[in-house]
Amino acid sequence: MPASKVSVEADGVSDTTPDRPMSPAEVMRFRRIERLVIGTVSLGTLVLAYSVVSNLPGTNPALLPPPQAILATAMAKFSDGTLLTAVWASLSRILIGYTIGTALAILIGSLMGWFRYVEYVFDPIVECMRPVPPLAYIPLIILWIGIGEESRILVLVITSFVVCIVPTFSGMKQVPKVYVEAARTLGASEATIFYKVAIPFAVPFIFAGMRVGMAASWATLVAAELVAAQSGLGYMLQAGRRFFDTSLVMVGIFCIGVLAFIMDRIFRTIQVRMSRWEEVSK
Amino acid sequence: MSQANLDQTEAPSLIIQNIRQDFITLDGTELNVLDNINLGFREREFISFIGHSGCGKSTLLRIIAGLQTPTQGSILYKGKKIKGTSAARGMVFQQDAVFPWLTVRKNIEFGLKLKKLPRDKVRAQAEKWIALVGLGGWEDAYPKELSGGMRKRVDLARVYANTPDLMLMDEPFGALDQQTKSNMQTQLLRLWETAGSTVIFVTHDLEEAVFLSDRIVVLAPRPGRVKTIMDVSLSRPRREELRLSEEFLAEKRKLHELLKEDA
Ligand SMILES: Nc1ncnc2c1ncn2[C@@H]1O[C@H](COP(=O)(O)OP(=O)(O)OP(=O)(O)O)[C@@H](O)[C@H]1O
Ligand SMILES: [Mg+2]
Repeated sequence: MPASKVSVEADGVSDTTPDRPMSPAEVMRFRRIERLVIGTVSLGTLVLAYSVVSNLPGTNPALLPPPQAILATAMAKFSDGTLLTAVWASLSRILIGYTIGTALAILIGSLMGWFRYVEYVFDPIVECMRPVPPLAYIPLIILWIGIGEESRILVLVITSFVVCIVPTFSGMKQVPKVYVEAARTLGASEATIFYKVAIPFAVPFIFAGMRVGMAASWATLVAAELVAAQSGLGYMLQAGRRFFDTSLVMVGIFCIGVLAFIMDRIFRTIQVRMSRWEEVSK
Repeated sequence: MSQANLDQTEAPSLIIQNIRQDFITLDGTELNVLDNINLGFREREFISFIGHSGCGKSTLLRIIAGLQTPTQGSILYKGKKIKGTSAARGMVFQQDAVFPWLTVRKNIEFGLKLKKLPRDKVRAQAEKWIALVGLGGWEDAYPKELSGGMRKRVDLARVYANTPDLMLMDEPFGALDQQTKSNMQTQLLRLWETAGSTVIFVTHDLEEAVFLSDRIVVLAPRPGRVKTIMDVSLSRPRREELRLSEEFLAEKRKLHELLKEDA
């Protein structure tokens, strides 16, 4: 029944003699519904197909556990606390490492973009670090400070720092001269220009960097936990592999996906709010 | 010659003394942009600079604002040599300089807050100028939501709210259509009459120069120098109807002749 209604409205969009043209707002709403319906069907089909295949008599449940088995594992791991402990272990590492790395990136990046000599000092260092995937530092860090909590956090600090500093720096570099001079003729001191003109102008760049930095930190963290950790979601994945518990591996992947998605959404919301003044299409 | 430029009746409050500006171009050669500029302006005078594109009008304005140190010469303002910028010398730039990350109100309050005025005073001043430039109802809008003409009015209000003694305006209405432009000119004159500042106004537009100014400084290019100064003998206050009068057209013709001698 709803399908038939949708198809009537679809005719309204594809201008084949519409009874009444849709307003732009209606078109937007219709497109959103369309997208949601098709997307749900698409994802549902994939899950259904997996469900059918995994439940076929010939399938090895150790490799392709059926959805109900995965769900059972999830419930079990949730109620015995393993899941939450793993999530918390990963999240707390991210929180600490990412916060330190990002704060350093914003501090050094904005000074670099504003003061020539700070740029001269830090630019070569940043340029050297940038092409190296942060994971490559793991062996070195382990050699230096062992496989404790500090080493995992340090990798996250490096990751978020390197990812966030580049857009921060470039945002500060792009502050139009006319804004600076306008502020100056309105009586602003150099310090005022830095925090009332340059920083606000660079905020959208900084937030874009923070968002990408968060995604990169997740990727690095999971990889780091796969290699060297006794807790966390990455460790859970590794444990699942070791004990041939495919369900557990899938639960882990799902959790990582959901958490990363939620964090990205939070960041996107903040980013949109902070960049409201910009020429962004709504 | 330089003495003739100075007004005799009243001591000039702004003296432009023997200014020379050279720039190094990208290919390394020296470019003489301004040469031997000597001018004197009275307080509360409305002055226009007119001249070909590239003859150094913006450069001269930037020097007066203190944004640019001249190769030679100096600017005396009320007897003191200008060094660096000051809130007393406001500037409306040729480009759009309204801060896009601040609302209309916050833009206009920018300079006032820097003066450490009490909050309610800042608010009141901003309100006053928002009303004067006809932006009531747009206080909390971001610049991107405004038209070009409205943004220019924010720019004007922001500089005026700062109550500078000297207003430097670099082709502020250059990008506007004829209708908006003449509205803005009338509005500017009204604001100027109430604010009581000296104005130096750069333009390419003869009618604009005649309509607004007490005196028009005609600049000659390569290197930029003062060619002549024209007194505009039109009474004030000047209102829209003036544009169609015989006397206005006569002044405009006079300026046109002065500019033509150039070519
Ligand atoms: N920072 C600079 N470095 C080198 N050359 C410059 C610089 N600023 C201006 N010039 C040159 O000085 C000359 C005068 O420029 P200016 O902007 O003052 O002209 P203008 O009279 O304002 O022109 P317009 O009417 O087109 O705005 C131009 O030839 C320009 O190329
Ligand atoms: Mg110019």
